[in-house]
Amino acid sequence: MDSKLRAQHRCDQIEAFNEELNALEQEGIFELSASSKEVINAHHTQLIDSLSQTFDIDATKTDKQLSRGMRIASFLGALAFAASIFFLFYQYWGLLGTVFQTVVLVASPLISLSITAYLYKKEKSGYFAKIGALITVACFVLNLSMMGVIYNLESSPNAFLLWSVLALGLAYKTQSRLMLAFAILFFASFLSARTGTWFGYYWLSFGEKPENFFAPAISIFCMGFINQKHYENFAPTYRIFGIILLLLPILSLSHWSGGSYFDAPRDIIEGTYQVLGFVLASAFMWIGIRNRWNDSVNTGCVFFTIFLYTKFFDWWWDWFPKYLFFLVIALSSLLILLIFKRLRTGINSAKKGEGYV
Amino acid sequence: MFDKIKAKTFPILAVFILAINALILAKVAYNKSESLLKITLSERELALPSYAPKENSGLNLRFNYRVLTSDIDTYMSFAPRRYPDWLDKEKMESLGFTMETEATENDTNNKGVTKERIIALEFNGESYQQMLARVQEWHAELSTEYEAGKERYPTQESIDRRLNKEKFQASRLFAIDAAVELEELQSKYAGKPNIIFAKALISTRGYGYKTNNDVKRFGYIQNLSIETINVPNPFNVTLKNLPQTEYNAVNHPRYLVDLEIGKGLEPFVTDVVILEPE
Repeated sequence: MDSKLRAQHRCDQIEAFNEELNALEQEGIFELSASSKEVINAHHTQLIDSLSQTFDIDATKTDKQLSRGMRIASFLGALAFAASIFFLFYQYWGLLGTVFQTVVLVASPLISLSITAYLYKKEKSGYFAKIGALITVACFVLNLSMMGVIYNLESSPNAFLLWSVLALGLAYKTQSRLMLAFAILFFASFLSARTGTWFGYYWLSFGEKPENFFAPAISIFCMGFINQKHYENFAPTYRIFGIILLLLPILSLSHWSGGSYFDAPRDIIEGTYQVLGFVLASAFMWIGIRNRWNDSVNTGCVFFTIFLYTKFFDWWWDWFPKYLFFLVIALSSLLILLIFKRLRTGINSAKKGEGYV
Repeated sequence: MFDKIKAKTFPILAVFILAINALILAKVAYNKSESLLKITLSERELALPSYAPKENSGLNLRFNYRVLTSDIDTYMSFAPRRYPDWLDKEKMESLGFTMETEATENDTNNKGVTKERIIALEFNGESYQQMLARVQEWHAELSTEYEAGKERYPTQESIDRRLNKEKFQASRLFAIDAAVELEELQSKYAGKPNIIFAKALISTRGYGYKTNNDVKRFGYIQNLSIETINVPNPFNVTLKNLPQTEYNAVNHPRYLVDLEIGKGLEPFVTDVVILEPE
């Protein structure tokens, strides 16, 4: 067993196996002999103990619920810590001389990085190390931005790349998808800003041209195709953010041609992006179905629905009475539901034919 | 190899953080290695922030500059800061912008291109004298009408206040020129100790506020790349104790700031002197 994800999956399999076995016994379909049960139970108990010790997995449903609570608590705690550090610095920085300000700014990410390293070594579950990682990134963001303020330096998009590098390093070290999300967002901001400068715009205007996000979005989505040993849960994060960073700009351009680089009539730009939005959302769903990636299917589906409902709004909001408009939305939702149900039946039949079910 | 890198992640990241900070400090040292200009500005040109959060002990002064305009009113509005008459079609093209004179179907506010260029700011020079003269002329004209018994708005009190604001409160820093390269402006304004060079963002617009409406697309100064200047300790403590000024009063400057512009066009404060109240 070489990753926490696989270990957790094995543990879940064991729990599902035991539940199904109990159900079969109660229905009188099948019953294991007492000696077989004993052997299997002994093996499973030893395996779960070993996996728990090595990977700190959730052995039961109760453990899972508690873990979810711990993840939420650690996330909120980390955010609160980061905010506290920002405000602490703002409260007192003006009372410090320039040299001392510089020392504090350089030392804070180094100190928090050291604490993160200590927590990573000492605490198996990794929750505290992940908090430490978020605080380290927050300190580094404060470090670079406040150095710019103190020394009156001009802002630069390279700061996003530097923050992304740190967040990515910590993401892979602490196995934190939250850090990975920050790394992706920082990287997307950097690449979009750079793309804008290549087209002759000042970097700070990168948000005014949604097309700047296309290249980073596609590259981030492609990262989701790479099978990373020990980091199986990272690929969905790459895919989800890739899809969001591609389809959100397309959604805005489908209603606001002014943000486009293309010099064409407004109707053509917006119409093209509307069609592209539908096509890409469908493509992501298809890719997800083919590769059994629920994340791609779900994210593609959400955007397909948003594109569809915004079209309905454009066509019918002023024409229909409100009750009829919402009735149409409801009926189209039912239609989408039926289509997906049909798709699922088709996929399951195909799986049966291939011997998966 | 990835496993080896992963095992040493924390030390590698520590070195990374140190290296980046070393680069930043090297840039600061480069900027301060040579001073392009030393100049003393007052509260008129380096204003206190209009709102200072209690929980922020730092202080940044805001560069307050203007452009010469014929558009004079009782209030010194924001818009004239952006639209200098010298930033015409030819000038914009020399700055690397493509300027159509006819509006296209897609000509909107959002089609503007923004580029960073170098601008020249003249302190207490010809532009300020011209502006002062225009305000005095405007004041004299309106005062004559008022004396003739004409009922009019603005009132005598407000036009007197506007003239006094121009004399004692308004910024004497005027944007007078722009270029792609610093050397171009340095050679043009060589020997003039009251010219500050700064990086600024220049943009194009399809329409909007403009006194000269004979072009469909025009340029404007969006803002300086470095709009605010940090005031180091202990100077910031002194300035933070100054009360907010009243908007409708004529506020004389309360402090002077010694400013240096470094080799990288990054400014820094070297001294602050509090003035005796007038």
